[in-house]
Amino acid sequence: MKFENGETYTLKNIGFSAQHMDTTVERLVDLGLHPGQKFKVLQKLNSGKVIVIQFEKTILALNELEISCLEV
Amino acid sequence: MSRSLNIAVVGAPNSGKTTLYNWLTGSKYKTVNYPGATVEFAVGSLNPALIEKFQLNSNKQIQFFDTPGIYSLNPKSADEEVTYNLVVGQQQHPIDFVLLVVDETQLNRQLLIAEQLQKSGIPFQIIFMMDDLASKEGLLIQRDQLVQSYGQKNVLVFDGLFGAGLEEVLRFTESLESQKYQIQEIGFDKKSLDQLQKQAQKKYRDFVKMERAPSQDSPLERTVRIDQIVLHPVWGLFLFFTVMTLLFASVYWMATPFMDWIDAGVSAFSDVVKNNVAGLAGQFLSDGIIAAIGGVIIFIPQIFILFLGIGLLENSGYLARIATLVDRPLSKIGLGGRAFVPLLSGFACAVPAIMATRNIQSKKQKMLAQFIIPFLTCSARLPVYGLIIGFLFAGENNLLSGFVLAVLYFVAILISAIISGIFSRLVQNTERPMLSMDLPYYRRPQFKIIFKQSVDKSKSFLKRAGPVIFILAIVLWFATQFPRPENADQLTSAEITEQSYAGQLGQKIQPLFEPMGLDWRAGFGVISSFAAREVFVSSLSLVFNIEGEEDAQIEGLIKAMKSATFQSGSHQGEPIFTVASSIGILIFFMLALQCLSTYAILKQESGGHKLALLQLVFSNVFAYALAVAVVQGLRLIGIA
Repeated sequence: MKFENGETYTLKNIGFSAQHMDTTVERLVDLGLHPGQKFKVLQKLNSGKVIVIQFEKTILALNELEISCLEV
Repeated sequence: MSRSLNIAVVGAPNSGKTTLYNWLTGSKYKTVNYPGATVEFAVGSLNPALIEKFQLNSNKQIQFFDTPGIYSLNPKSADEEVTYNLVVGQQQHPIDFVLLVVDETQLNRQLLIAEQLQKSGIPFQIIFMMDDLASKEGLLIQRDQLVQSYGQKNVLVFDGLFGAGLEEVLRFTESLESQKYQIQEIGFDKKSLDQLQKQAQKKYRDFVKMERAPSQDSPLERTVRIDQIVLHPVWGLFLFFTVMTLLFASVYWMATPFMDWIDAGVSAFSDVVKNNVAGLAGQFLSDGIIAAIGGVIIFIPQIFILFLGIGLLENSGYLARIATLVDRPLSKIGLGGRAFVPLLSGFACAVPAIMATRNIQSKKQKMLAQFIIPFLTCSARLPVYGLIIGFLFAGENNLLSGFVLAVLYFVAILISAIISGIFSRLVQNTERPMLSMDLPYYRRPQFKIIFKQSVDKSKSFLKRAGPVIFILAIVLWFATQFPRPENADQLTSAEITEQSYAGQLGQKIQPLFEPMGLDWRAGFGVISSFAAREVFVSSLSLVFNIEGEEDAQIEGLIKAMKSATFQSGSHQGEPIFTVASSIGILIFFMLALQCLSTYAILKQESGGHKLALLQLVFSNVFAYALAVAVVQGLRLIGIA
């Protein structure tokens, strides 16, 4: 999934394409991401390998592995 | 006698735990603005001044435990395990109660810990922090209903800046009794975690409302605006390199006038002592003790400025952005953004930096970070760099000197990166590193607090280095003055030193240091620095018999270095300290692990001698080989 700068997305699921990454999925849940959560992409860095998202009052940076867990 | 009431202060990173802990205990622990600042728990008793001020029960012993930040009771890294083991595992200390510190602007995710604590049967009380920020964000929090949903009666709001609400927190903790709790449930699988997250989200929706639009100076809006530049793929990196260059170069530029004053002051004091205390005792005090101590305190301005700079970056919230910016570049050498903060701390001191690697979840990343941190330019190297740069430029060009110092920092970074890159390819691991970096709101650095903390850290540097240097100064002075020749009165200081124990030993090891372009005296300085790097300066002062009658101590040493020549061997009569040999010294000190504390912490954090020994042997062999190669290479192209 390619995320675009400034776009808002709604999270359908976490970890749909992720294999053997329970810890990563758990951490994303810990950080407040959950199905139904809307988030906005604030920045894309390193050709989209790192993205900065905002949801509620939180700003979070995610790497490629974590991005791959987000189903929108 | 009954045991003390043990209260753990728990919460997510940046929620304000350490701030509350400092207010309760009167401690001065550093509060910073990035995740992973606390990697070990701290224990402190209730501040006696508060007992008196609020007339609390003085018979009750209360201990508070400041814990590393956690996002949930499912630990993912070594620092989170510290909190988990304390609160859930009840290891080392029986905890009676948990104060759960929550940032009101982050309740959407910080209530998960409350759900887990409740489900585990761990007694806790929510402490609301940062209500001013929540108000600016337009949030209305129905605190009474929220705490009631967890069976709590008290609504405790605490202001970390001014301490409002402290009395209520104190009265509440005073009312608690020592009673070890029984854990009802531990370990939360994904299904259970999802369920708890849903409950937390429902409570968030029920009890937290957007009352109005965020105010004009909303911290979130301001942060997003600043991040447009700070996290920009081009401008962000440009800003990063500019900030780092300024930080490292200003360590030299800004410190120079202060260092000159200290140098002149120490020299004047040494002269007074020498003129008033006759004979060997006067020499011992002035050339041994005062010179050695002066050789360390002169570098306090540089160390203070370094701590101040890092403190400002930490406190502003900028560090987490840098970690985000460099995540991808660092991943090329087997590291990630989470390794950045430990690496940066390595520029102050390797010991806390290696401890800070607990924040890194990936074992491979953690090991690599622990291995390369000792290569980074810690504050103990500054005295050596300061001396050699001072020798090369003789204080004539501060701008160039500052630039050279920045270059030394960057070369150390580059070499560390290459080593990490090579080692990361040798270590097989399928683990994929996480970033998931919380980006806190920017805030104006609390300069007064950072200044005070920098003073404390500089004092701590002196306290740590002082005794070692004092003892070594005595040993070194005796080694350079004894055995006393019978005709000592007719000999020069240099001739006495040459016949001394240090002279005899030094001449035996001279063949080892000759390829580096050094004679036995400089080699003796290098060997003595294995006790502490800073000792290099004072041991050189001793073997070169700096008396400081005409010049300031360091100035005098530099003057002696300029005129020093080989006293024997194939290079007899040739200058020792040349451009080539000075660069050789810089390279050796840049790479060699010469610190016992670093070895000990490497052993502790990596779980054995293996990594620490590998670092010790590899870094010293590599440092020596590279220094020799560069010195010989420079000589080949005509640079003496």
